[in-house]
Amino acid sequence: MVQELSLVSTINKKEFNFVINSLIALTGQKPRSLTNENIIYSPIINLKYLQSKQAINNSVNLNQIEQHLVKIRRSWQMYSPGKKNPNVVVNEILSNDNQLFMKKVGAGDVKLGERDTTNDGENQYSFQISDIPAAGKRKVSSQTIYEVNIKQSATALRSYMMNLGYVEKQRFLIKGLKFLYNGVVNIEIFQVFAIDATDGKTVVQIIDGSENWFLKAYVNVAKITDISLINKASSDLALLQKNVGNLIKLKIPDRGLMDSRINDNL
Amino acid sequence: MTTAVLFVQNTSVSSIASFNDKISNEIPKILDPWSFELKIYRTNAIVGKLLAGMNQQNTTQAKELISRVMYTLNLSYTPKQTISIVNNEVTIFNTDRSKGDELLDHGCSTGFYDPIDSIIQNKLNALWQPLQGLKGEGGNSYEVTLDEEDVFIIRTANCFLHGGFKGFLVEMTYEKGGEDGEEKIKSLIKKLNFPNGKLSFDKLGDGKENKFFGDLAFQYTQALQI
Repeated sequence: MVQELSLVSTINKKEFNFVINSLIALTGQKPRSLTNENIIYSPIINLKYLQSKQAINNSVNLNQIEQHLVKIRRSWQMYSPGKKNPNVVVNEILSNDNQLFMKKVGAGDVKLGERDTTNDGENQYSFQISDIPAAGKRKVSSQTIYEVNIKQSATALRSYMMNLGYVEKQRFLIKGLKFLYNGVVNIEIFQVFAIDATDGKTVVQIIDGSENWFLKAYVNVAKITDISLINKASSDLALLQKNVGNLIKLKIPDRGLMDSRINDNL
Repeated sequence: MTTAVLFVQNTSVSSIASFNDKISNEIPKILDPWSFELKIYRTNAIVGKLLAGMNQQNTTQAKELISRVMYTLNLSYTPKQTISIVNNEVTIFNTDRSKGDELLDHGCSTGFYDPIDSIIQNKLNALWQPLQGLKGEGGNSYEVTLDEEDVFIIRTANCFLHGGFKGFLVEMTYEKGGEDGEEKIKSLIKKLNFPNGKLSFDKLGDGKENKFFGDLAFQYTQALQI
C-alpha cells in the first residue's frame, strides 16, 4: 500500500517538443519510454445497484461496504530494433503508426491484435486497487493504492478474475515518456489509446481527438503513516511545480474522476 | 515433482512428537522449521440477501455464486507468495519486489506490494468475507532418502482452527518427476507407518499453470476437508 502524491497537467500537441526539451534540461536526463497496457475490471455483481432495486421492507445496509474497480497493468514494448538513442525514443513515441503497438509476450514479439488468441505466454501483471483521493484542501492529490504482483497467462488471469467476481470493462494503452526529477518525482507524459477488440480485430484509437498529452508528476510514499516522508514528497512536488510554472501548469486532479468506487449505475 | 497432503484428526498435540520420532529413525536431513496459514473466504452474505430481495436467489447462477469459496494459502518456505484458489482456478500472488522490475520500468507498478489477504480484507470485502483461518504451527521439515535414491521432503505441523487444536498435517514432496510419484509417496507412507488420516493426491487438472503450487494448495483444501 502506497500513498501516491500527484499533480497533473495537459500539454498541447504543439508544445510537446518544447516541453520535452525543457524537461531534459531540468532533470538532466534523457527521457525513457513509458509503455503499458491497462485492463479495468469491474465487479460482475453491482451490490449498490441491487440495493437500489430492493423492496423497502428488505433493505440491506451497505453503508460500510464499497466495491472497487480493479486495474490490471502490464508492460508492452514498441517494435523497434534499435532504441538506445533518445531521439529514436522520442520519435517513436511521437509516431502515430499503430504498427508500433507491438507487444512483448512470452518468447517473442507479436502484433497486439494477435496476442490473446495465438499467444498464451506468461506475463507479469500488477493488480491494483485504489481509494478515492483524500478530501480537504491540499497542495497535492493524495491517493492510497494497493498492489500485488501476478505472473500468469492472459487466459488464466481472466478466468481467475471471473471466479473472483470481476469482468473486463475497459482496456487501454499508455504510450509516452518519463523522467525522474530530483531523484524522487516521477514525471510521465503520455497519450491514452483505447483498445477495441470486438469482431476479432483489434483497433487502437487515441481517446483524445485533439492529440494533447497528459502529464502526471507523482511520488509514491511507501509508509503512509510517515508524515515527514509525505511532507517531503509534497514539497518535492511543489518545487517541481514552481520550477516548471511558466511552462506547465501543474494542478490537483479532480478527485471525483479518480474515484474507483462502484456506484449504483449499471 | 509429486506432492501429497495428509491430515490426521482425532489425535493430540503431543502425538506429532512420536511421528517425528519415527521419521528421525530414518536419519533424515533436518530442514528449516516451517508454518502455514490457510484462509477460507466465502461470498459475502449480503450478496445472498440482496439477491433474495429480488427473488433471484434460486437461479443456478445465483446459487453457484452464493456458495462460492476462495482459499488463500501462505507457506512460510515461500514467504513472498500467496496461492489463491477459487472455483478450481489458481493464481499466485507475489510480494517479491525484485520480480516486478519490468513492471516498474514500464510505469505500471508502484514498486510496493501488499499481501493479497490484506487486499481481500480491505478492498474486496464487499464480495468476500473471511470464514475461517487454519494455522499450521511449530512445523518440522525433513529430507528423507529411501532405497538410496528416492528423496522426499516431509513437513509436519500441528493445525489450529481459531486457536483450537484440530490435528496434524503432513506435507510430502517426491522430488523426482515421473509417473510413479504417487506410488513412491504411498510406499513412503507404508514404510514409515504413517497414521491414518485424510490423504490427498488431488490435482487441479491438466493444463493448469502454477501447477506445482496450485496442486499443492488444492491438496491442503482437500485433506483439511474444508
